[in-house]
Amino acid sequence: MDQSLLEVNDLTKIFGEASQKQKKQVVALQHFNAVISGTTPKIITIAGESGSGKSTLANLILGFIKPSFGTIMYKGQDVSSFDKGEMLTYRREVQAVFQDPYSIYNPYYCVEHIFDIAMHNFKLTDDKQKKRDLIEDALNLVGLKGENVLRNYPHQLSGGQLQRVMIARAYMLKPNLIIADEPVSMIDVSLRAMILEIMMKLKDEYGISFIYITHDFSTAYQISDEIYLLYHGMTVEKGNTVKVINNPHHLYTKDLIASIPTIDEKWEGHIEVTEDLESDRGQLKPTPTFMEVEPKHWAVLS
Amino acid sequence: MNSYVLDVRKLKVDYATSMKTIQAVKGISFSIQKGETLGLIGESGSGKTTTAMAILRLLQNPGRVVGGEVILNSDIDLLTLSERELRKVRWTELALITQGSMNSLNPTMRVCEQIADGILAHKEMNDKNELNEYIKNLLKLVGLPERVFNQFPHELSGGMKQRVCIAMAASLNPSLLIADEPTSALDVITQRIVAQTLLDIKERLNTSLLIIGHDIGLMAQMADRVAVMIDGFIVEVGTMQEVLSSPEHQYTQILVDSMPSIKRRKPLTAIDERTRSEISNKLCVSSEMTEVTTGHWVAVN
Repeated sequence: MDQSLLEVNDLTKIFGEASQKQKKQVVALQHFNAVISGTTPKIITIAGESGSGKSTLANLILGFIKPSFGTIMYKGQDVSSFDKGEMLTYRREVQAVFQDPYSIYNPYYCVEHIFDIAMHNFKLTDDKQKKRDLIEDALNLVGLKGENVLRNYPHQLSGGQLQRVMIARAYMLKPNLIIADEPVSMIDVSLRAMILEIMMKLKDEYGISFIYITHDFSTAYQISDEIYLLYHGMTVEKGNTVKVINNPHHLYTKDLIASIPTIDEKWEGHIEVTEDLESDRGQLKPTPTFMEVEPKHWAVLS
Repeated sequence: MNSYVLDVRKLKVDYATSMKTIQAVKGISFSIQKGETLGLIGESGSGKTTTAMAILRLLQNPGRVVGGEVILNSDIDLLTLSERELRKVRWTELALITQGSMNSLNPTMRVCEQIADGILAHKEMNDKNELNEYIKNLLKLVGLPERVFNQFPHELSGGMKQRVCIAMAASLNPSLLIADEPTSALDVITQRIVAQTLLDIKERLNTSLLIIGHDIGLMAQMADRVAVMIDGFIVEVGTMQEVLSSPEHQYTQILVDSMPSIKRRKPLTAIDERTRSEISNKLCVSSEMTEVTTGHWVAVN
């Protein structure tokens, strides 16, 4: 049987739980299930609006926060049971690229520093020449040259360049999975395509899977294989990206997809203002049941 | 002769420091007719916000208008007005909505007080009931429920706050609304609602709208005509439809091709640094525009 790379079971995160009584609790993510295959690399989109729990999911998988319940299995083993050595390997094999390329760099150091830290933490090599080759190789992959970027300070580079350096850094560590949390939302449109292309290339040629977290459905449509749609921490629709976006089923998904500004066609009519019901965020709901709308496309009944 | 609500002629803006001078806007011209929505599209650093700030005379040091004219309603040159005359024009003739508008609301004032504050600063309205009725009407106009009248900003969502700001901007029936990335901090659905609100208001008050942004998709939904900016130049002006279906300038083509679709997958184009500087160098030599079809102007390729 095909061993999964990452398997997430019933993952739930509740902020402000029981201990602090007067505090309101917020269920940020509930009953999230997903499997990433260990044999076929894929780009998996987690989409939703702000507050839908998509970044909470990223933080959970990266181990920055602990789940309230539910498990994350990496190569068949529970991540919470990892010892120090295993955790280090996990940290190397599961990389992250974040939204804001400007704030990730320390302004006092040249860009090279970001590679040095990674080299040092994961003890890649001590040989100077080898180090340089590794960095150069990674930078070439994202269309940059070491001589043009490494000795520069972050403020001397554009957002697109900084973000590509981040991807190069992740690639250098030979990961199996990259969590890309809104990697292009701060990048100008004309450069966005370049970053997306690099992601596709890493998937196709280097077998790296991606969890692509975004609120931008049109880029998700372009590059991803599967999509999970989150609404208030719940998965409401999931499956093959093209199928879900072409034929949305859940009421919320329909509204969402009808609101995407595209150049293909004009918005039709008006959509109604829905009052935000923040109050029901405090309650954990029962595990949702999915209905198969068509092959490889599931939705929660709404 | 057409009468323009706004006519910008050869506007030039510099940011000058003792070290060097950066030309942010390099002699651009465009105009907006009554009731029209013009989209000014460009990427970061293209000078689009600087243009808006220059029109509103809100440029911060070291920014300075070094040339050109900005004619409002065919007779007032905004750039030559004194502070006092300017005060008369602001809010009554010109209003601004920015991306961060919703965060500029005073957290200690109720929505009704904030809107009243803006109105009373520019217009006399002694009858309290009349003023309250007027404000309630404004809120209805932007689709907000009546309870918002007595609420504080923190009780409202981002989209609702942005609509309060639209209500404020529209409160004195200005002839031109300038919206600088009015929806870019909002979620997809909220974005659509705010965009709809803006267009509704524009329609009802028959004002003109200058909308600034980087999202072609959103522009395609909102604007009648579009002007494309790069590096302080305008490279293409035309009706939205025409520019989208037959972009003439290389940069516009790249922008349109870089826009992903949700109907079909297609290869996306990206712009590399070399192409960008080539385009920019050519423009520095000549930014003369030619008319390819009626009303569709393109800079030399």
